[in-house]
Amino acid sequence: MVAKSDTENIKIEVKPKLNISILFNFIKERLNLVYVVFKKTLFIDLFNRWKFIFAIIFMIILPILSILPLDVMHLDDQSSLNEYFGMMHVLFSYMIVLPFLLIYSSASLISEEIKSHTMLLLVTKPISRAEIVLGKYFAMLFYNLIISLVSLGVVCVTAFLKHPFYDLIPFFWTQFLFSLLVIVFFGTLTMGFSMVFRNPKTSALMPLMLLLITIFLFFIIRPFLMSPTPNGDLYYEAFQVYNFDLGYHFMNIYVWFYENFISQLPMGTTMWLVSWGIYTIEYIEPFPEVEIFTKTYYQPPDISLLIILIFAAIVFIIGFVIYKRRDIS
Amino acid sequence: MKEDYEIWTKNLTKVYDKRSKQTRAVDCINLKVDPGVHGFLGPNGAGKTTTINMLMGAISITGGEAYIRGVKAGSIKARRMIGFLPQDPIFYGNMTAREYLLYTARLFGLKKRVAETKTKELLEYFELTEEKKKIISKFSGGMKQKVGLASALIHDPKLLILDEPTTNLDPIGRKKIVEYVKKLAKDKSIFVSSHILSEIEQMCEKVTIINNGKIILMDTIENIKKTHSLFSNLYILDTNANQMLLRKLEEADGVIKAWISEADSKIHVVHKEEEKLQEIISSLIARDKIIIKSFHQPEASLQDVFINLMKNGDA
Repeated sequence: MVAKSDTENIKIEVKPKLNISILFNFIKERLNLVYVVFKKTLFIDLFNRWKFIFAIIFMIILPILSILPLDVMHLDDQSSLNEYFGMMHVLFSYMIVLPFLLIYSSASLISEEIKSHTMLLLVTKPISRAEIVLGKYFAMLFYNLIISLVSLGVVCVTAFLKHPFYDLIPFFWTQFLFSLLVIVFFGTLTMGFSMVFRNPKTSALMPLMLLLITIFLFFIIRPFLMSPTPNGDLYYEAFQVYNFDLGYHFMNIYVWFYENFISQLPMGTTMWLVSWGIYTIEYIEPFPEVEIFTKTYYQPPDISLLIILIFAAIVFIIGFVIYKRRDIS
Repeated sequence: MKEDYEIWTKNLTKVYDKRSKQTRAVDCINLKVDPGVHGFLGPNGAGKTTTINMLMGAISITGGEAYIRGVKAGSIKARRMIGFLPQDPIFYGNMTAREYLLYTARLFGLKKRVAETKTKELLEYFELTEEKKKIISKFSGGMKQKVGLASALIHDPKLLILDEPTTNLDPIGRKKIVEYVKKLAKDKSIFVSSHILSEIEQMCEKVTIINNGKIILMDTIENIKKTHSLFSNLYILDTNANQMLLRKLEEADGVIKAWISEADSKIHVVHKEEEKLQEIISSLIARDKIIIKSFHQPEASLQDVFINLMKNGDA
């Protein structure tokens, strides 16, 4: 019997050193996979015929049609595009059309793949579920950002051709930043629901309901909530309803952007903002034609921004946890 | 130990909780899959797809452990080693075969040029070159299965896991897929699930039979046929004087039953021991100068064994 030499029995474990280039290659490799999903989602899923036609009609053609009839005869060098068109554009494009477009384009990104079983093809490849979600999420953000930028660009060019408004660039930045917020909020929220539900229609229904409640329902009931309680306080203030009013938070942030990029809000806009809880209006008894606007300051705008982002992030994280644990077959 | 096997599981279990009712889809199975072609047999709902999906990391493991070539099943590293064809694969209907293969290749981390070369090669291999620009939703079942196989092979894996690769295919399509699997088996290990036993018999050396989530048998096809044959005591004999020999056999010791089959006009004898039967036949032949044309034991098909096992409730 031949005895085994000692060297044969010794196992030398060599722990790999953390090398920067290995780490760099690893990150590059993982990011490359995110990019593969991003590219496929963008060009195959999002830039499809109907979604694109929908986006062009509502985000480009309709805003142009609304700016074209603007009467420029009485405008001068100091005329403000924000005053004539800013609030209308925010309400129509960013509070109605863009959220619908976002919900329509992103509700199916995960849930459709689960429902149609194509997700099995994806999760059995050497890519983590987090990377799949990131790829799709960034594609959704990018797609909507492009649409928003193109829409805003076309609107600005059309407005400039109509009249050289002095505040064209601040208009662009205010609107762009606000659209970014809407994209991040509704996109994150819808992606979150898309990971929770297997049915794309249900995934779309949840953010849609939230949109209808916060934007439309609150728009109707807010004046009633602004009426005084028997103690003389406003219901809206007494029960701190504004904290749960996403419409208020959105407008609070818009006003913040506006005041930072442009200046004090024009009078016509202030009137609009009363219905969003940003201003209150008072009439002095002997002079009913005199309106006194007071800014409410229920919440600082940065807190409003935080509330909106945290809310979307919570839904997204819950959705991701559910998706990560989900059995895919 | 687990490193020696292509697939190794210990007490692998999957329990589904549905409205406070628990279903054990896979119940403590211990798989040991050697290199080569291994069949995974079982009736519909036996737990084949659930097991495979656990191995692929698509569904969570409730209990036990599973390893692919020594690497934890479901991990990214394990998934990189496997080429997987799911049951009834559903592709992105709006992608062409070429686009889908390129996408899969890129997901396996292949560089763009390599991905394009591999895609081209596989489209040629599976005779899909002419259809490469057609969207997959317009493909027939057989063509879709070819795309699925091609995508499973795109990164040149050492192990292929094929879940019911011939389901929903017409006989020609089935034959094609079986031929491809046979070709691929030359340099790859293949774990193939099916309930079409004749195909498993053609493709595999070893099989595991599963029923109600439990493994009831794991062996080579040859051994299974021998040990579980319905015909272990039956012998078929053909001579130049079958009628005469039959009469004598009916009177011989140990013969349970003997008859001449109408189908082939040969003597069928049921005897407990082959050696004793051979002795009896030898003595009868020597005495009456009978010439033997053939003497053999009928071979049971895997299907016979499988049906027998299911009937006997070995599960």
